[in-house]
Amino acid sequence: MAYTTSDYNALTLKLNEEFNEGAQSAIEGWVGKDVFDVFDTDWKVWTYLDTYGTAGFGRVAEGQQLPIVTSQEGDTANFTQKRYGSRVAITKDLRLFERYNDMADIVRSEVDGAFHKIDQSMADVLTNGFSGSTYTDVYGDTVSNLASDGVVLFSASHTNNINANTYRNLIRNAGGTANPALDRDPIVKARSDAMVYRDPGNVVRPTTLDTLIVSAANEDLANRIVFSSGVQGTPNVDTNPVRGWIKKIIVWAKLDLRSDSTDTSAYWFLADSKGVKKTLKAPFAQKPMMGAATNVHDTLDWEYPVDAYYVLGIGKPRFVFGSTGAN
Amino acid sequence: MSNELDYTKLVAQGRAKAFGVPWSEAELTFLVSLGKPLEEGGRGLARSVAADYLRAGVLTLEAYDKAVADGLVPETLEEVKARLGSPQLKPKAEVAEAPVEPSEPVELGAKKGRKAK
Repeated sequence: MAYTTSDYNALTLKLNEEFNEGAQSAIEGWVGKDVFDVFDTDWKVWTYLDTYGTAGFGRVAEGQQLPIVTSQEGDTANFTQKRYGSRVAITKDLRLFERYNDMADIVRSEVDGAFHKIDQSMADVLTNGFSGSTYTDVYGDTVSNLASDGVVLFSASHTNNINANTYRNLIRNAGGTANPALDRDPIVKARSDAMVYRDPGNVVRPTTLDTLIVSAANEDLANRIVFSSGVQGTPNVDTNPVRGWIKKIIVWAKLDLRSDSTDTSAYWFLADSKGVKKTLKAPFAQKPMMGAATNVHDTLDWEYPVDAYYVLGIGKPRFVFGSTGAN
Repeated sequence: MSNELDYTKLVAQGRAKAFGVPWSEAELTFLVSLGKPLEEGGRGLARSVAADYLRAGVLTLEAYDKAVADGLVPETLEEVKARLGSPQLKPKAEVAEAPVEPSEPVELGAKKGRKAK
């Protein structure tokens, strides 16, 4: 029996089930949610403040007033929600000839595509984090790749608003060459660079890089470097401390090719699992959802809108290190 | 991704080139090097002072040393803004600065906006 307008609700319920199952499956493959801080918000403009740490804790004499810890006014950034969406058209032909399988396929494909595009937009934040001040994202928008200190995400000279100290989150090797290819030596160097991070008050606040994020092209090499019992690539019988340092390898296929079709398969990143979500922010005012159908009078299609509201932002850069692998 | 940064602060602190214009990586590297102590190969400049030199076109340590030897004193950001003030806005600014006669006290019941005769 062909679907008529009296079947709106019935078909909508069925297609919503398909949408939800498709979303569940897509979310399992959504790598970006393990790297970004994905959270719900009601704010259209989400305000981020990086205070660089307070510095009041100190020696107090008997009877002395405790020093007031003022949250040093740091750097701010505003992340403004944007809307993304599409319409899924269930044509009269599909309904008349009861092509329910095709309808389900269209809905599942659309929700799968939505989450993959969101995932790609997240990967692009990392792969575009090395130069310039803007880039074109997967949706064709010009977006910023700067942290709140006005410096590109991965830099040797991040600044603060309190003094002239700088810090780096651009990976270098032991010889000081930036953007080295994935190898054991720069992992060791980046780890030590991160551990001696000093806040503007000169207090050492170690960043522990324990997560290696690589493209699909580097999956094999990453596993060999991290999980070799000895030092990878040498006949050396020394132990391999990297195996104890790196708790997780994230293979993110979206890193292989950027949205502008640049081959970024050599890019690789290290993250502090406890802090990475302070660096990469993804507030969602609405995750992808499918709305009720509209009967389009000139085609007799039933159009189901799918939309989402979200924005990606850069917080404290120091919890993620990156390299283009060019050297 | 929409990152609206606090450029007013960043520029005032020499951490951005101009409003909405960040330093390039090369400019930032040079800015930082100017701020390093002399014993580390820098010139010990405060960041906002170093920024003035970069905006004046000094992009290497050699160029900086030559500029200093030549007695170049770069304009500060405020001086640049004042010098580049918009000519279209200037007449309006002059009108706005013209002395305004104090208004007559309004009597209750008097119509607003009319000067007392």
